[in-house]
Amino acid sequence: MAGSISRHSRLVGWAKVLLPLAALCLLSTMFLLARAPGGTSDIPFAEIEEIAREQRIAAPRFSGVAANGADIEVSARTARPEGALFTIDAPRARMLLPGGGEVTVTSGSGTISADGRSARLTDLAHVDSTLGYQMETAGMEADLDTGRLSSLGPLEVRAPYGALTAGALTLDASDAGGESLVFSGGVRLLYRPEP
Amino acid sequence: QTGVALGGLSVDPSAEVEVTADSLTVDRAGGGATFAGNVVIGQGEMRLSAARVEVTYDEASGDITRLAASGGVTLATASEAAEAEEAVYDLTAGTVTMTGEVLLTQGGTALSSERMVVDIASGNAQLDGRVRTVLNPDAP
Repeated sequence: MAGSISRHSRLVGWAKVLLPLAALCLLSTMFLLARAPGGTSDIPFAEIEEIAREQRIAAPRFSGVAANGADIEVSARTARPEGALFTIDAPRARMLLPGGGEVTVTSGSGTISADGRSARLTDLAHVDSTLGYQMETAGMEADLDTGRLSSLGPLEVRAPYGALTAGALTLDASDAGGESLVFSGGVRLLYRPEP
Repeated sequence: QTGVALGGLSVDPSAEVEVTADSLTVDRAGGGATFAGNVVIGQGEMRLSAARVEVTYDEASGDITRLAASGGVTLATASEAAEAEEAVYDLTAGTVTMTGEVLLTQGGTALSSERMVVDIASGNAQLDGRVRTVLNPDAP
């Protein structure tokens, strides 16, 4: 019995020394290895001032259902109020037609009316339609009430069967609810049959 | 059945086709594309003009297979002209089929019939359906 008691007390004796030492080491890592606190230079003061100075909405998104049943969503990188309009940066308009089919319009910049009734995507607009037509024009006007998109100038069109140029484009939902593209103002198709 | 050779017509079927019109309407329901207003289909020296032309194309390959012209059609070549109510240019077969009061004028003589099929590469035309030759009294 005596041997086991002395082994036990020796064990406790060692523990009384080792455990506090281990605790001390753990405690010291908190102060020695900790990262230096971030300097004040990391906070982007310039950007904060710019944000504070001008009203700006980041990643604005506007969506609604138009009279022709199309679900229209206009989103952009930023929006800045200017009078009765918002100027939007890198806008993207997406129109889901009730009868199926989707049209997306992206452009460099644009404006959207404060009452959200119309948006104008300018600075080279790219239009994609699930009917297989890709178009490029100076800009597109979106009437968010009626759901009608119209081009602000002549278009270069890549149709499923060839290259087209057209004077103007009106894009709307047809009475069957699907997409209806009407190119007008003179249309010219160039088609190269494969031999 | 009357065979006629249209001397002025010999079109390479793989030559470029140009279609000009006032407008083009593309509709998902119809799926088709319809040119309207002073439509002129040009290929080589063949000109097919009509009020309306509907394009039928193969969705996968993007090849135009048919151009259906209607609303009064005129096929003009270097030396002949043919009028009809409707015409279908079948690009795969390389033929233009004109139907409805076809009137083919060649120099001084004119032929009228109900239907005419023209092979655009060879220029051979087959007329059928009450073919009549109309001699033009005041021709030079």
